Amino acid sequence: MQAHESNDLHACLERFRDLANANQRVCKLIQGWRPVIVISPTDVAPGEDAPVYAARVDGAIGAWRSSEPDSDWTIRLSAPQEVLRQVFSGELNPARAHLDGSLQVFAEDRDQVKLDAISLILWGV
Amino acid sequence: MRGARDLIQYLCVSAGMALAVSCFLVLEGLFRYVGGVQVAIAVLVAGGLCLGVAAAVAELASRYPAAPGIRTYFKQAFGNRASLLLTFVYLFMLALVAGVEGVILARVIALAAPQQLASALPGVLLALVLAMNVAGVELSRRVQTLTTLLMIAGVFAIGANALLDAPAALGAPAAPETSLAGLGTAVALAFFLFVGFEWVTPLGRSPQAYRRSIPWAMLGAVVVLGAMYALFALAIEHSGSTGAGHSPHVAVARFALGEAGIALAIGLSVLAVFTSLNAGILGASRLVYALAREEQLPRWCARLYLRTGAPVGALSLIGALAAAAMALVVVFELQLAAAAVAAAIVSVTYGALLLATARLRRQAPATTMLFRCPIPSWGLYAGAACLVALGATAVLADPLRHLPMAIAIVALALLAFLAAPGRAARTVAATR
Repeated sequence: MQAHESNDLHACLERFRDLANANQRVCKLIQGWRPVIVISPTDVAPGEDAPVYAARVDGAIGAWRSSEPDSDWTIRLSAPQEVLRQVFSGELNPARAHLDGSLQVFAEDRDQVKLDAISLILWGV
Repeated sequence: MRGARDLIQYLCVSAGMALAVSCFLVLEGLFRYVGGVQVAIAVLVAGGLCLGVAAAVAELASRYPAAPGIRTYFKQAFGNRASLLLTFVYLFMLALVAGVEGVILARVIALAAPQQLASALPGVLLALVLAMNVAGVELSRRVQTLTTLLMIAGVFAIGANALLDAPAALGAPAAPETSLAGLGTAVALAFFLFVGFEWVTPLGRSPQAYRRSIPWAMLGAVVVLGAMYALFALAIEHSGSTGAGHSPHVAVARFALGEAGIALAIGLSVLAVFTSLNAGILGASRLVYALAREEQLPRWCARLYLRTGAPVGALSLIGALAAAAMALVVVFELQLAAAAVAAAIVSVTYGALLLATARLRRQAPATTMLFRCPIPSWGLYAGAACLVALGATAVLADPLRHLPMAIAIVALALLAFLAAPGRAARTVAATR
């Protein structure tokens, strides 16, 4: 995996966080919701460690850190970096990617819908 | 330790999806075609076939972990159109099952409560489940596990008590003569007893769950359900409850435990209807929401209640379908026919799942798969043909009553398919 792709994804996640936290409807949606969102790209070159980005949600989406969280309530998303970048920049409908099997979301039903709804509110996709 | 806990929770989710009060109606209905031991054999044969389906579904789930079940599997194997049509048929079948559940509950409650209360209770339960979903109240995995364990233990206890502690009842209706055709019909209808065990596949908490926990949980759930219903079939015959109509489990419980048994059976019935309605509405509404987000259903189906994040559009659609199904089943006394048609649809859907597994092995051989079904591809094709034939057998068991309903469900699904805004969309080649 190229280092710049990793940086692209991290920058994209930070932009997503800023957009979401600035949106009143998203803030209303995530009020009282306290999971940790974990993003793990699947396209890792042999011999490299898979990067992980984790952000705690508590009234707002926290900063993305590159470490596994110590929490039982996690929403884990796995996909190739490009799919993740497209999903978190509003270029790809996350529900469609999920139904196509290209985006894996490990979470309770309600958490999946909430996460998807953020994309719907921000970009209408 | 955590692995064992996860396995039990997944097993209970899988079994809990299939546990429904209408299963006892179907179990009693099997006695129209074969006698007591043969009913148990039919249940075990259907369970054996479901074990093969569970292994195949586990392979599909390991290809697409956490994906929303049949919609993804069929889309990848057969393309968007076939997948959409089969998914709509399955959704209408779920609404039909909700209708049957409501009616059977009303009949069971009527044994111990005024008729008005009994008639109102299914609607009240449906409204309660919908309100809980809109309010964002979900049963935790722990509560789901406990309620399922309680129901399984209750049914086993009633069945075993009836068989072991009470002498056989006299005067039970004579069993029909055993025939291969009768046994085939009974096996086909017995598929209803396992409806929904595969709905656990989207609920894995991590990719590792798809290596062992979810495959073994599905297999375990089918074994537990098969053993439980086979035992109960023997108890139904032993207690002479084969003519008990809508509530054979209440009759068996009364036979085994007296008046206390009636209360226990009614309590289990309410719990079973509540949990199966809740699981069915939750799962179906999420599928409808996802289809709407995929632009295969109108946009209003993806409408959300922002305070809780509940998909109110999808919940409204599923609630309306379930209520309409309840009304239809009540007015036209369609409960047995509806259950038979549901069994046929499930049988064909499971056949399609076997076919999907075989096709995906050929189209996209996965180099690293978390779980591989031990059935060779030719076995999957043979199993698929067998399940489709059993589906046809279930419909043809009483063609005058079953066929029009089966045609109506397929026609409704076809209408929904033709109205789907994005039905022409092709499967994204890159995802294959």
